[in-house]
Amino acid sequence: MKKIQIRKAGSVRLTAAKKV
Amino acid sequence: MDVTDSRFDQHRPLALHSLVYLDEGEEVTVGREDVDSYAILPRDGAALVRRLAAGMTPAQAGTWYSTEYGEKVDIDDVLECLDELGFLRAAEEAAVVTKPLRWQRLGGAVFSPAAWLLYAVVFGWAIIATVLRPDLVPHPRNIFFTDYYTLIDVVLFAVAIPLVLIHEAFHALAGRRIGVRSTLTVGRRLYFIVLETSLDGLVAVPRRKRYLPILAGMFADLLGVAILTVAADLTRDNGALSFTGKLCLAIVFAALMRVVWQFFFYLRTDVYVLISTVLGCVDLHTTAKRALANRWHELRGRPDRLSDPDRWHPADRKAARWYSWLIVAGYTVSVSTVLFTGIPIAYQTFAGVFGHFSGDASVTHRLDSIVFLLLFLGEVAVFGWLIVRDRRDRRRERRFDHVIS
Repeated sequence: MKKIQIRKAGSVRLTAAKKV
Repeated sequence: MDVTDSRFDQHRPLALHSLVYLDEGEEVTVGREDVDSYAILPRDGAALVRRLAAGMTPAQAGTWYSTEYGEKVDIDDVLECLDELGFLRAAEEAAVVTKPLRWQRLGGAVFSPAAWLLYAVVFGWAIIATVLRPDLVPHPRNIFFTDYYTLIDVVLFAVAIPLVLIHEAFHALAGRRIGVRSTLTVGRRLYFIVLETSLDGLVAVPRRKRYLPILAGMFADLLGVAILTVAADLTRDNGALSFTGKLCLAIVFAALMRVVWQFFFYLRTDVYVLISTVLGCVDLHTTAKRALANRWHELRGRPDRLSDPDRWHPADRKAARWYSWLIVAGYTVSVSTVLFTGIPIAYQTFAGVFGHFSGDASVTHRLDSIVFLLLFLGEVAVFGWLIVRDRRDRRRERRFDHVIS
């Protein structure tokens, strides 16, 4: 019995962010 | 398992939500664009899902698979996966009508040929001005546009917020332009508070189309730097930089620091997303952390705790071999920065601040220290709230029993 590998796709998080 | 145990009716077609398919050779990304839930399937698996979506019953799809590939398929496991991913629709549940994407036309305009021409002119102007007049060259001392240090802190923080929002807006607009939805949240990376745009739908567009949305944020930062440099040059007093000009150059330096920060890839910055896209990875950071944990458990002789590398995506497994050490190096840099520079500087600063509350400090000094402390405490409060929120979200995160995550 063939089991098909189903994988969750990755998430794409784009960020932008300390300073005297 | 025997299909007689199945909780799915093998002889009735399933209702599926509307799915998109991105064929990438050996693998196919399949998902719902309306809720941004995507999965990666081998070619035969995706072909099977297409059959189910076209109205074949599970029994018919199973027979089709056997005829096509010469072996029986565990159709029930596939159905469980589709259910976990939210692809199945209850019979009485109406098909989701996709709402049109807002700001798509604005996204097209911001990245139109005319806009690129305008950006090229601005960059060219800024570069030529800087070459001709070296007082425009970015330098750390440009931060000190006034002698009031708290004022520097407050102004740069107040200006950073709209600039960071523009950075994120450029990501979102570049995504909207090609039909990818986005959401904006506040997040954290190690000890940095960040704004975060989710563009999960990028996994379902061809890879070469992903690069502009990924790089658009840093592009916005550099565009801001160019515009402010030109502004500083245009507001001179008798050839010398005016107060406005000095303020512009202080903002320029802070903006360039934010671009440099993006290269701290181990904090999962835009540069990290770029690297993992080039390498064709699915979740490089998590895989690299699992690889490190495996080495740790092996050292301690705890084979029962090992994560199974066979379950990792091949591209992630390959890259994690070297990337995991870069994470260790990166965290070492960040932690030693805090220990050897952050803490001594903070100590000096706070000693100065509390000095203003004792003895006969002037009203200005006291005010200066109060504002400084309020800013600092505000940041600590937001950071604490983020830690609590992330913990709560992690507890609510759904676990997958069939889908590999």
